Amino acid sequence: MQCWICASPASASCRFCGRAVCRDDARIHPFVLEVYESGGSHYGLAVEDAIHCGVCKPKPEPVLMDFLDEVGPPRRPAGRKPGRK
Amino acid sequence: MEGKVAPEGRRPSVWDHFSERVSLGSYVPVLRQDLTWARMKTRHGKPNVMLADRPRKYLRVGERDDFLVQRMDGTRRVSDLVVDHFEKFGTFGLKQVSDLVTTLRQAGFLTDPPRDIWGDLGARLNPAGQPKERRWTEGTAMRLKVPIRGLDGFFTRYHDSVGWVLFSPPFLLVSALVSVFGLVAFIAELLRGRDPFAPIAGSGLAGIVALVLAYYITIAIHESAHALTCKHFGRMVPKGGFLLYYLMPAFYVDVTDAWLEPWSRRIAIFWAGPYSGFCLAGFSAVVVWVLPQGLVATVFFKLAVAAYLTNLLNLMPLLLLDGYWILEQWLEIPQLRERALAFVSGPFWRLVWSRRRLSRRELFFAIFGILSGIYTFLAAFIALYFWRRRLAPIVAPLWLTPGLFSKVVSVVVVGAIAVPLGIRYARRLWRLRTAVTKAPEVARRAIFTIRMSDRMRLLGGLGFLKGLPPASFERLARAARVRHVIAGEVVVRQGERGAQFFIIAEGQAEVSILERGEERSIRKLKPGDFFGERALLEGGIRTATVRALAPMRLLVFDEKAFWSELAGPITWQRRVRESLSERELLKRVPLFADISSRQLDLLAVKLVVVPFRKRAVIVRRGEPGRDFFIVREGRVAALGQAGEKLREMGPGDFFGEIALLRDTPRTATVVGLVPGTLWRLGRQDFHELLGKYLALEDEFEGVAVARGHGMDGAA
Repeated sequence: MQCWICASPASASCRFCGRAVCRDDARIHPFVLEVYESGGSHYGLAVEDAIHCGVCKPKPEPVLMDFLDEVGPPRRPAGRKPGRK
Repeated sequence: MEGKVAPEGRRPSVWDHFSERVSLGSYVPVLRQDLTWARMKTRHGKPNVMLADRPRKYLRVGERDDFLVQRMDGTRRVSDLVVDHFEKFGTFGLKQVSDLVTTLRQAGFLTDPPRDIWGDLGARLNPAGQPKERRWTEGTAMRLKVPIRGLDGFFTRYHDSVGWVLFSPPFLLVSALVSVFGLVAFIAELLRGRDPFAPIAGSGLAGIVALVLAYYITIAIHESAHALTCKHFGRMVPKGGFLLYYLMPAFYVDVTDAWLEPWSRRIAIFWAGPYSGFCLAGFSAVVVWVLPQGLVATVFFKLAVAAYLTNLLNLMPLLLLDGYWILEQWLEIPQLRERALAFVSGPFWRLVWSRRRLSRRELFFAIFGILSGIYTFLAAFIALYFWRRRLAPIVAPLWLTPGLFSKVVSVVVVGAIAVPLGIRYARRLWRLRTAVTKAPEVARRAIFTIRMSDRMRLLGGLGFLKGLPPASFERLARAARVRHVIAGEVVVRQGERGAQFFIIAEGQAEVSILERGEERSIRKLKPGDFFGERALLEGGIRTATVRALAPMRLLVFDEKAFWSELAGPITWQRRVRESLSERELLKRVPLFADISSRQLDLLAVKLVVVPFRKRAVIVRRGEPGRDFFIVREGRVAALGQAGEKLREMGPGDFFGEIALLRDTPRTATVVGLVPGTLWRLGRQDFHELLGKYLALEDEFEGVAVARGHGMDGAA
């Protein structure tokens, strides 16, 4: 794979978008591996220096996705019931 | 949900929803309810609207912005506001709307303040890297304020218990009489030969201390007058305190709330300080005139001298003090001094060189700018001469007096003048040293060329080269030169002929146009933006001036080299020429007056040219519409229900604009009158433009916040 920016051999991929980058063009960006709740507060397992390509723009604000409510849960395939083999 | 972006006939998918949700177009700005509006008229009767989050932030809102802000009630998205702007003012206001939303959000005027989860996360992970919050001081080292907050209650009580008397007609009458008689008495005393710098009780040191004390009493009363007048008009004085202006101690009060008052009251607030000085000096002079010669009379005379000197300095309109603010409010020319100095340092000489007659405004700017420049230098020399003439005879004997105390006092007195000046010139020398040490680095960067991949990326962003074969791209990329520009340098100048086209690889620039002798900034350019493309067509005359705001690296294309690299693929040369000509045509359409160069470039790609013949039906009344049309050439007519002609439209006119947002049936039939062509913009393309090129985070990076100016009644 080649670096997205300079087309030289890539050595990493962007944690946010997957673009390949070489060592020279790679940047770092904080990244949250996982968020969990404890005692009413949210905690995050974070990486301070995850690889970032510098091309994509991780949005600085959460995006409300209320339109997913309209879609509803995925439907089960017909003729199969959970727990039966 | 209204306005979902999806191809015709297909139900919007989750990804359609998502792409719409992350774009600026679907953001719903909601203005906070607790903000303060002030709707006033200028002295010339024009609307002057202020919006404030008291006492922290004040924004002056333009007429068009006012129209938009009124609509930020939670029922409209940004795309709706763009259409509202379009319906009201007839132009696409993309930049106006996005700048306004960005400014309001950054200033915290919207219900949802801007957030940066990555920044917060970085701060939480690396708390040591965060700058420590300074609690006791504000401002820069050379204008260091030590604020005392919560003064509003004190000034309110002060005004309500005693201060209101100062604004009663009897007191105003008496104070005016005292000011006039006092001035006459003071002049009489000077004519009688009284020395304003005379020693007190034979002591030079006591004389200086008395004068310094008198100076601070005068400033304290001066600042109180600003604050009390502000309170008298019902406005806030949230803070005040001590000020170290180039290490010279003084006081200040924050009267920024005065922006919410009409122009006459703002002038009154600025005038209050000097007026208190006239009253104090007048009263002191009358006392001196009445009393016999002696210690008390000498002290009061020092008070009068200090008050008149302070007023003389404050009322001089050529420095940023009360006199200047009064003049600025009276003339209603915001940033008068900056604009006058900018005019004198640039456009003025060009106008003189071209021997064009100056307009009245240009003449005023020239005189004011030149006088301000001269006075700034003159003031420094006058101050030096004054202090040398007056202090030398006092400091020299003090220094020679045996004992440590007199030497300390001498050092303090000389240091108070020498240190601020020394710091100023030391800073200049430091800047010079930095420039010299960085010179090799700058030279190295000048030799360093922009990488091919970056050149290709920059060229790939040009809409008018869309679809060009990779080989041609590569040849063009190689043909480009690299130019380095220092901050403040003019790259192209309005009115000059140019044969070069530029793409910004690094840095920022400002585009300005010369209007009535004054340079007006119209937009900012950032990496990826380009300018000077007219040069590619006919070595065109520059229509604007581009000045570097920060050091820039530019890709430069000479007209001949550009076309010679496209010489192989003849069809491409023609297509690029057509694209550029199309942009030039679009630029002349008033509808797109507010659109930036890159947005116009992208719009040109999205617009489809549709030919029409005479009597051909372009849209039919009652049919659903999703396209918007602009007449490119030829003429069309809008017909009513009975086939009657409603109006005729020619080049630049448009119809079907509401179709960009709403599924409304066409209200008229449009037919061709004189054969020609139309530009057609589909609804989906419009939303793509909004989403892709006006992303909020990009705008947050590039847009300056401050529109209102803070005002300190600082002496």
